[in-house]
Amino acid sequence: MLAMDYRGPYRVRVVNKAEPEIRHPMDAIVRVTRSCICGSDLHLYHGLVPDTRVGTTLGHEFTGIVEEVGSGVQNLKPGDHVLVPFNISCGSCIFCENELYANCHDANSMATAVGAIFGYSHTSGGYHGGQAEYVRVPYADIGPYKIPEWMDIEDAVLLTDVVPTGYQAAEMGDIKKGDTVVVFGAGPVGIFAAKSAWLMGAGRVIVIDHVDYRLEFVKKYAQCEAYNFKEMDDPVVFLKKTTDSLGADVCIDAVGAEAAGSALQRLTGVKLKVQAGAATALQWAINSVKKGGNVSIVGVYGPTANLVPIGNALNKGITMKMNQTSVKRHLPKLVEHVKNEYLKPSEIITHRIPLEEVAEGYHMFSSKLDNCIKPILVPPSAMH
Amino acid sequence: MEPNFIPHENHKNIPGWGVDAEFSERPAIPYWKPVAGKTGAHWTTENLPQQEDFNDFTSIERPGASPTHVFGNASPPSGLSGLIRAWSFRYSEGSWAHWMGLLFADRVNVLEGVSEDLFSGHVPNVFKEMGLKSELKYNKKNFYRNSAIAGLIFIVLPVSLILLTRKKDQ
Repeated sequence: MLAMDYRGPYRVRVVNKAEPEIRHPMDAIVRVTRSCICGSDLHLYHGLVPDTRVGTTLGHEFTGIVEEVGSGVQNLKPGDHVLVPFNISCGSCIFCENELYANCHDANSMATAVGAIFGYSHTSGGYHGGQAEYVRVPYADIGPYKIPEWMDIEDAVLLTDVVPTGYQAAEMGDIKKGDTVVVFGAGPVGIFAAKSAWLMGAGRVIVIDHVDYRLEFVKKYAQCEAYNFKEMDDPVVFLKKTTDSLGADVCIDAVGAEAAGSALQRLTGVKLKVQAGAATALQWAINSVKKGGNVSIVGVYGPTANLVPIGNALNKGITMKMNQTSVKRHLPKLVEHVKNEYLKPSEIITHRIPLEEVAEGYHMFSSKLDNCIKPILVPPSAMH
Repeated sequence: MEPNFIPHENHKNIPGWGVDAEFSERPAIPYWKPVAGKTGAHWTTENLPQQEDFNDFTSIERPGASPTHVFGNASPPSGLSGLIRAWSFRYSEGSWAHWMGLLFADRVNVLEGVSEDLFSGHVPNVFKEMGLKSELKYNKKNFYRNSAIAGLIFIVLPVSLILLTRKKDQ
């Protein structure tokens, strides 16, 4: 089968690999119909995530048709068209039994601080991902969700990560009616965090980024205010000015480890890697939120440590919530929102790229070429 | 000049505005939501079969440092990078040695990948692997500038050095 093959920072290719096999009675094999390149894949692509090994197939956002199931699988059968959450979850550990599927304790042998994720380094369990023609899906009775017949698969594929992550970002902000919500980052997750903030009754939604075409997009798509921090002397002061000097009720970090905006953070976090990424967005979030406000973090950081103003967070009495998204727990609600047309996820897709051209897709997304917001990959078998 | 503030005036007309305003409507509240028996699992951790042939490392923070019942085997450790990974896994996830060792192993692994390619008779097409066709298509100026810099560093400088050395020898 054709599959993406990670060769090192900024180098990927498509090769022929052996098709995956059932390795456990609870496995399924899925033939991929769509997969995405996620913003967090770029952290792997840029060499920031420890234990990212040459030869691994990346990709944690995909839909596909079940080809084969293990002897223990009861809820899926060959022919089912499913969307597969990016988390791999056992469904029976203490965390899964409390709907913290992202924090499953029985799917990742190589780390306890991280759950298991498809195609996201050996730190996240060492599973191949969905940027391929076929994928092995462990614990097939837990994650995969049958795509309703009325749903477009390009809406479905964005429900595997981006949409639930944006929604959970807003949720973790504990937004109340009328709140002012600031989202740092106008990428796909930031876009859906802004959309979700309205669903939760926000009174104002402000998005901050430095890429003009993304700001233009989010302004129209999420009907929010959108500002370029490069045009500001100091984003924190700018945000204070627009919130009666008190700060926003809720700030969301939807950027993570590769934030622009601070030379010191970029140097130490991205170039020298002595901290776990550039935490500029988080720094701004803590400093821009009002006292007693909420900071929500869904931007991905590495596992070591970051330069953040934790003293300010303490002195301001901020509540901070963060987690990887437990996709399964959000799906029924979000499927309903897509059905009611509150959300139309596929509208953010800007590029549909044949799997064979995955390297172009990564470069285009990474370098923000051709106004790229969300690229998806189409395997040859799903072209027709 | 700083941007002007332009708040959305009719946000209550946005489709779906406020439908999840009640906390009870939000799926991840409360954070810990007991759903034991309703996750789709028809097994318990105790009676789950163990996947066989584990050939990787386990976090020393896991119970007994044992593998999980199900695991990934995308790229088993090998070569020098594998030895460095083995050393890194002697340390807990709270240790810098663990993560920095793994990052170092990743870089060694890249060189191993290149040498494996060469030994198997495959010369990596770096232009293609880096997706530079899209750079040429959408960002010509940057492409030519970077190509010129790369040419200077990897071709002009080494050739000049070789020529200079030869001249001195003569």
